[in-house]
Amino acid sequence: MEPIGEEQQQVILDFVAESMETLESVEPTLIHLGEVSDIEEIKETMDLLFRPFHSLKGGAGFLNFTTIQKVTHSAENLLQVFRSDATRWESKYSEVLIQSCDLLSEMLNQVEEEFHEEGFEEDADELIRQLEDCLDELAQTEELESELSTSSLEQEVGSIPLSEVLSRSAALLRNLIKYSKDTFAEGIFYQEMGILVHELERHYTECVGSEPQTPEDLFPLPDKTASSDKTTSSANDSGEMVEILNASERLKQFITDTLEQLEKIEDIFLVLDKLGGEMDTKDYLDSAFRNFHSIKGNSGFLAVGPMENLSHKAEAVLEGMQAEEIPLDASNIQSILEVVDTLREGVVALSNQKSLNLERFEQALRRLTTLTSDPEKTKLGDILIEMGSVTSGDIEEAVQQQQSPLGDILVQMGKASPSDVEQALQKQSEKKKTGRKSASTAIAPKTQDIRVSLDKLDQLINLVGELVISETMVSQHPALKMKMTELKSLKKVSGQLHRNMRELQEIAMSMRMVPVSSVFRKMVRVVHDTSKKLGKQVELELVGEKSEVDKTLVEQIADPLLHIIRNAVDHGLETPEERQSAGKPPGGKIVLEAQHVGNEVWIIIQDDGKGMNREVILNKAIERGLISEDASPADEEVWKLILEPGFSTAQVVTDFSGRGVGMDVVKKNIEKLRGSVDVRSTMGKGSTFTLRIPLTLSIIDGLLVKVGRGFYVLPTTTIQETLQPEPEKITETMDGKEMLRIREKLLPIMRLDKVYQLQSHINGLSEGMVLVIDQANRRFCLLVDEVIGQQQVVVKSVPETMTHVEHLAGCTILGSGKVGLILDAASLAKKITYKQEKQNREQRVN
Amino acid sequence: MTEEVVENASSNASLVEEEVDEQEGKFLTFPLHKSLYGIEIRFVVEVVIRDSTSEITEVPHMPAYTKGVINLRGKIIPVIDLRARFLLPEIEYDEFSCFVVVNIQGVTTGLIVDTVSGVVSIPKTDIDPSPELDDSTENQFIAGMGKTKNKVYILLNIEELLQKKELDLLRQTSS
Repeated sequence: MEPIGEEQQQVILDFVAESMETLESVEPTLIHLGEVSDIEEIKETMDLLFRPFHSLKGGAGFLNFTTIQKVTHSAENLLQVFRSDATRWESKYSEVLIQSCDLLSEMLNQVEEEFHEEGFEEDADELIRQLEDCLDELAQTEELESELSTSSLEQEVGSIPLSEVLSRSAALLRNLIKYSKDTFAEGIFYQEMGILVHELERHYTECVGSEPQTPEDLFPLPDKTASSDKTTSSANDSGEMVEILNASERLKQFITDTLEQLEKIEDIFLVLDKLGGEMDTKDYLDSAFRNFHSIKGNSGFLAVGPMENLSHKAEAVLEGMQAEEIPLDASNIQSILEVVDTLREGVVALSNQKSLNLERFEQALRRLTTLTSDPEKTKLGDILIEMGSVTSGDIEEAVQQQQSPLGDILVQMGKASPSDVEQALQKQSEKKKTGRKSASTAIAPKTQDIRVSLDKLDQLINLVGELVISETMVSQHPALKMKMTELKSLKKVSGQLHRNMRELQEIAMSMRMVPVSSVFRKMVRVVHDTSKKLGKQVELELVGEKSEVDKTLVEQIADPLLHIIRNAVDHGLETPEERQSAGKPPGGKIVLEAQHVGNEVWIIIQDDGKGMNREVILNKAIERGLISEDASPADEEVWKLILEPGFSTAQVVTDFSGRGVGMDVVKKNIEKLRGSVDVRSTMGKGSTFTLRIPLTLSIIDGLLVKVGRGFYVLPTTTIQETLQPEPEKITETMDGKEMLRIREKLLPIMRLDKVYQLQSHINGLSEGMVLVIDQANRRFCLLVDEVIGQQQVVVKSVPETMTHVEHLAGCTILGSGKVGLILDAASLAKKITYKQEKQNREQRVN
Repeated sequence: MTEEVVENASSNASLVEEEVDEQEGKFLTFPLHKSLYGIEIRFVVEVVIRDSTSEITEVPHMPAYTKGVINLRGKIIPVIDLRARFLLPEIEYDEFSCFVVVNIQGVTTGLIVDTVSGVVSIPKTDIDPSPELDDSTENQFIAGMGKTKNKVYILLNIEELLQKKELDLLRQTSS
């Protein structure tokens, strides 16, 4: 292999990073596709899917990753079929596409590490074969399905018997008459006519004995006279003689020109979409207009009616945009982009000598028409047609009487009942709403971002943290403090410096924040896989996935989430049958929600399954010795028991969950992040897990305490109260264990100086301060020499050589510049063992 | 932050007794107890004078020679007392006490010494192997004995020193 230069490596890494991101977005889309049945939605989704594959193919081609290129190309081919005809989509195809994604990300992983893609050829070939199988399958059904013969010229010409030619000619003429108003259909008829005319000639020449023309000469495009300069009406064309031209040269030119022009238009509108109304759009629109105009002219010249009409309409829309009659908003831009796509497909179809997908043209045209005319009325008509209440003819009739509202007219005409119209109006307003919604999501500001290495970012954040400390050290320097009263102006500027500092720190901190959506999206796949294997119908709803948390946190919540979600699917939700008999819809629902609450992020996982059974859990807990038999804990306590290690009430161990590991991992991992887990459940209604996680790991609110000469910090969240112990409330057992009575409870006392073998400055218990710590359901008192105060501290990692020191969660630099040690309350709590647990452990050993 | 960089080998040439172009063969020297010691200059990041901001914070459960951690301009690094490390009699830290900050394979550590004397160049030819009396632990820390006109320096095998320390730590934690 050739050595790769550093620059090239960077290019490759950028490519990989970008592609990974794209692929990540593709997966949930694919899974989502398996659930939708609305043709429109499928079509839109297909477009969404197509672009990532396309750009991946481009990038791979550029960087010479031929295997990736081949795979994406095949996937693209398959998607192209559905893009041009969404009705062909079946969910079974999503599997092979997901496989493609998987393989691609595997390859990208290797590329990222080793800068080559060798070793995947076999897998890729296998996958490409599968993709091609799908294509073949589709192609076969296409042939069967198509009513009008749309197969290519080469196959047909020269082989149609005279009798069929005659009968088809008759059918064609009939259709021509029937559809003569329908300009969309003309392309296809022209093609058919071309074939038939040729066949007729062939039969004729065979009869008279001369040579037929070769098919290449016969691309069945009619002469320009067929459409002349008129752009809309083609009714009079049908009567004219269709002349077959040797049009291949002209056609080739047309194809390249048009593709170029379409690209220009696309670029323009993508720019417009990004920049919105914040710039002078005139030049852009002018340019786009010119391009549409030439497409119109050329396609008119070649008499490709549908394309001509569509570009003509687009021209009109652009005119409207220039005159500011039609808003240049995201949905309208999308319409134009769709037109571009449709035209491009048309051109591609022409170059492959295939017929145009007229339905698509019709749709695009209809969409544009709604833009140019009054959108409300047209839409209402469309809805009524969709509802099957009226035909398009009725609507046209009604539109001619446009004086009173369309609905009224329809009712008057007796074509629709008042209730139909009522319903349609309701639908219309819904559509408007959803339309606005989709528009607003599309408008959502596209933030410009740059990639920065995490190391650099951490350096910056560290430095800012340092700066904050230095600032405190300067502004609170004793020398300065003495003069402060004299130097009022200094006090003022130092206050300002302090505020700026805070702001700087906040921004620096926010730079590490990323949306939780990346983890949430992974869960889509998890739900998909798990539910499929278990034969359950599950819908996963994501809420608030834009909420941001620290990057390291995002990575670490993935595992706990995975366990909870799998559990919810496996144990929480019932099978469709069970659900139906319980009077619920057969499909279960899981809501995954993230929201900011104060300094925390709450991640809520809610299912509408069968909920947890208090009795079963209690029995199990007693059996495992987690609680005593006569205990009657509150519900919340009961639910929390399932988070204990080794606790699983599942009757069956499945592939996914039920081994009794998992939920304790959830608790452990979340507590490691200084978060907490809350469980709620209602029998028959479902369960809710709430993960409460601090926004960032790098700053905590801590209580600064002193023991001996050392400073220690405890996270305030773990401390319930601080108090000076009164001597009469202290009880000492004969083996030297001390207990403190706080109200009704006796809590064990842990002396920090004893834990760490420090030289304490206090003589008796009552001289020190006691922190009541509640961690992991264990409460105890921590004795320290003195409590200094509450403050925010920046958490730094413990030096490598000291990571083994017990009960340390990190270090921090105090205002004085001294180093403080941050204590891990959870690990301290583990030193306390209750008698109950000890007994249980003994039992288990026995 | 008020630490003073007493001497950074590359920037302060006045302390250099003899100059050789390459970093190799140059040693940061300091007296400790009764002898003179040298550390290869390429391991030395800087020398920091001990003051109020670089006060040592004790870390529990560490070997006696690891005195704790200090704040080195925002970076928290462990500090090792070389006297304690070599089982020499310890003294109270004073205004001359220094931290020699060394970086070995990415791990930054401060070595507490009484004071530093300067940088000397000792060509390879003037370095004798360490005396082979017995194979006590301390001996493994000696890379060689460097000779100049009228002085002898004990040249430290600094990598071994830290590796040893880590091994000790491991042994300690596992027992």
